[in-house]
Amino acid sequence: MSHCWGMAVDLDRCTGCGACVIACQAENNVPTVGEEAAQKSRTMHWIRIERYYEGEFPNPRVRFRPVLCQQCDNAPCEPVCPTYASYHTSEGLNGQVYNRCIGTRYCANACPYTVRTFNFFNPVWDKPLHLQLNPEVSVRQIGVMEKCTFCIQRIKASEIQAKAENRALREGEPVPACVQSCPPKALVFGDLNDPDSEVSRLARSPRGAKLLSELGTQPKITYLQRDSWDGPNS
Amino acid sequence: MSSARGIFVLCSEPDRTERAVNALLSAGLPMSDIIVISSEPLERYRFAELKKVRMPWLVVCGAVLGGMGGFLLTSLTQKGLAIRTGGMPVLTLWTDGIVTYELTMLGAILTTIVVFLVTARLVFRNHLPYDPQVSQGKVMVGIASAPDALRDKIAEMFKAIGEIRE
Amino acid sequence: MAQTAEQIQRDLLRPVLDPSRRAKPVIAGLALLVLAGFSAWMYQMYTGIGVAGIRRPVFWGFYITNFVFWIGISHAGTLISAILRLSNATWRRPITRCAEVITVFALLIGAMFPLIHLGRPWLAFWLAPYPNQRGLWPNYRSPLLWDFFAINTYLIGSLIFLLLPLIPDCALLRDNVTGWRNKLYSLLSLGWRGTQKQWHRLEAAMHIMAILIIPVAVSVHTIVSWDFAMTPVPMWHSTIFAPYFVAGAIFSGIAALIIAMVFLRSSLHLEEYLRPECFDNLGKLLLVMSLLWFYFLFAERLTTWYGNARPEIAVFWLTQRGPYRHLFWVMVGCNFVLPFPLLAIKKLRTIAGTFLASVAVVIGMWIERYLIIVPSLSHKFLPYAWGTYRPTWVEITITAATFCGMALLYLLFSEVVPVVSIWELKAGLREPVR
Repeated sequence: MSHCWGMAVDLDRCTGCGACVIACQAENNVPTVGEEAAQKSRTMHWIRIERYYEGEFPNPRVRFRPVLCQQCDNAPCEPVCPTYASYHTSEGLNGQVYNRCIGTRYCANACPYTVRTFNFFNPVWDKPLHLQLNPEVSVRQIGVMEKCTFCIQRIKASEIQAKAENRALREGEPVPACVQSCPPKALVFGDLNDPDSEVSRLARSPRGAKLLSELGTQPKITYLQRDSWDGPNS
Repeated sequence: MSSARGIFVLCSEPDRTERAVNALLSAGLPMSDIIVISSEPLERYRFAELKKVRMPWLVVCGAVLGGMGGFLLTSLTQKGLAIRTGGMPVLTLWTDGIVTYELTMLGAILTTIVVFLVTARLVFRNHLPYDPQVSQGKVMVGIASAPDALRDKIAEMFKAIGEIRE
Repeated sequence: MAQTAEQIQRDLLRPVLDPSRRAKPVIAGLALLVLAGFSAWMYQMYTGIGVAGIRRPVFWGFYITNFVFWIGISHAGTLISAILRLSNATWRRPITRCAEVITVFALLIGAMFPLIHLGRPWLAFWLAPYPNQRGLWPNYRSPLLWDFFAINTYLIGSLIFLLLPLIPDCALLRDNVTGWRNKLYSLLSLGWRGTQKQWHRLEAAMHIMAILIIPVAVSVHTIVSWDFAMTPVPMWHSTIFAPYFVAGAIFSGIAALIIAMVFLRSSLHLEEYLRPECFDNLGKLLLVMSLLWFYFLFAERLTTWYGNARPEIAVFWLTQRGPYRHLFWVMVGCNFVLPFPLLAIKKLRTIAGTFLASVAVVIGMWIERYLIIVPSLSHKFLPYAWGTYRPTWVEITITAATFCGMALLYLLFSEVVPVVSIWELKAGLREPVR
């Protein structure tokens, strides 16, 4: 049976620590852009922790929401790409083929979650970060779009390993970098095609909801939270 | 070509043009053989009457060809894609329709220009005589080829009208 | 009209046979500015698209604004000329060619912008459908592919539409010049003689082209609007976009035509040909389009405001009360408040009046394109990812250079061929004045 990779994000657990952001950056060779470009909001993070504040002093409250590519089943980014750089893989992921990308940035405009990042310049890493590049992940050139892949290199590695050992994938394998590094275990990753996996169980949870579900993008990430949360102003 | 050369007369006024045409008609030449060269269209005059052009039908044919080409391009290449799309549709008639539409129009436009160039005898075949005085407003009337006997007769009539060009 | 055929020919050939020396410094200045724009583009190509001001989430900025704007300007020509030809309006004769030229040049400029804006412009040919070693055909579901086909069709069509009626005038020039210029015009006139058969075929071909070019022109700006309307971006995802864009394109196109005609009239001394009634008639057309534009704007704004959907209303208030409010009201002023009285009151609908209105409209329509693109992108669905946009000197230089490029191309064109169709004017002499 083929896989359908999905994720659950438990907002009741998320502390907003940002470990997932750092883990992703290290795992996926995401460039650091420097202070100036960051001020221009040209950061390249594939996952971000959104912070929303509510309440007035002296009772302010902050809400965290990790947002990464939602790997939509009905993704607005895919059909608009003229060169099939953004396409749907057979495991249901929104693939991004860097070599096909010519940099129209159309997919980034179409993405309602604003999770796609663009290489405005050739990537550089501050020393000694250049020594820790992950050899499993290609480094992206100037002018191409990139985004969260659900750590496709780890998925493939696990699948190959399982095949070599002639067995099915076990629960908890593969594990994307963000999930692996999450201290409160707010992120859960797994196969949605397996009804007994933890992520499938959580996706059915009454606490679960999809981000911007009204757009009909059918994301594969379920956000879990106990109380209703209807945006930053309510 | 050798024995049958053409003969033309340069007319400076519209009524002389009319006379030259009438002279040729009276010599027994059919209207379709008479050539009138001018620097502006003379459609108000009787001698400019021409049989209808079949251009629109050819253009429709070109449009159909262009449209078929467009539809085949989009549908065949998409079916031939070696890309895995995870069950997402690749062949979509709605959007193929847009490409098909544009190529239909392109087919029609290209047919128009080709039909025009061929039927107006431009670029491809051209050995009609010409005189730069036409751009100064004169009108050349005559025939492209005539047997010698007829030519002499026509030359006689043209003398009274204007300068003769052969 | 009181002219004779000889007079027409003399007056209209003069700019070509004896070009004014005063144009030389203007040409040099414009060329220099175009070169500056080209250098800026090369700098961007060398350094990277990052030298432009685009950022997350506003991934499209000045370049796409210019793209839409110039493609809109290109609707001046061919569409207006085709409609006037088909309706057999007598006053069209002096202006059809000025209009058609705008189309061709504006399209060339507009079509450059998708290339300028690409992250990897050297790979732009991957949009073309051809068998390749990548084993991949382009994605026909992408509106950019529709653009590719539509703009190419329109460019070829409008080029033919411009060149067809140019053939007899090139033949005329051929007979009036010597040397290399004679060779050039002989080539351009394709061996035109001027037999009645050729005239007849030419008019038949022009008639068919006029019919064909109208649906193509409409489809081009429709598809440009779909670049936006196909995406789930607040205020973009709207069915009104296609007619709204087409109307806006014709609107800015007429304005560009009036501006070009005013300059031609004074610089080439065509006062006898580009007469006040041409401006009066074009002014009326511009008035209609101004009203239509306002109608579309109101319809779009009212539906959004009444619908009060959260993502859309955020963009709505951004342009109404937020940081884009000044631009918004300048746009309304330029596109409606100022042109409306200038064009509606007969006494004001003079050459100066229509010129003033047209300049306002061109400015207003550029702002309109900007306001469609940037505020929507900066305020998409998740407020945390909201952003801003500020153009850099590279974008501003390239934008300014394209306006200079348009003027330069137009000026050079008017020195190479008669910018008013001589044979059509001559043929019009015998036409009863309506």
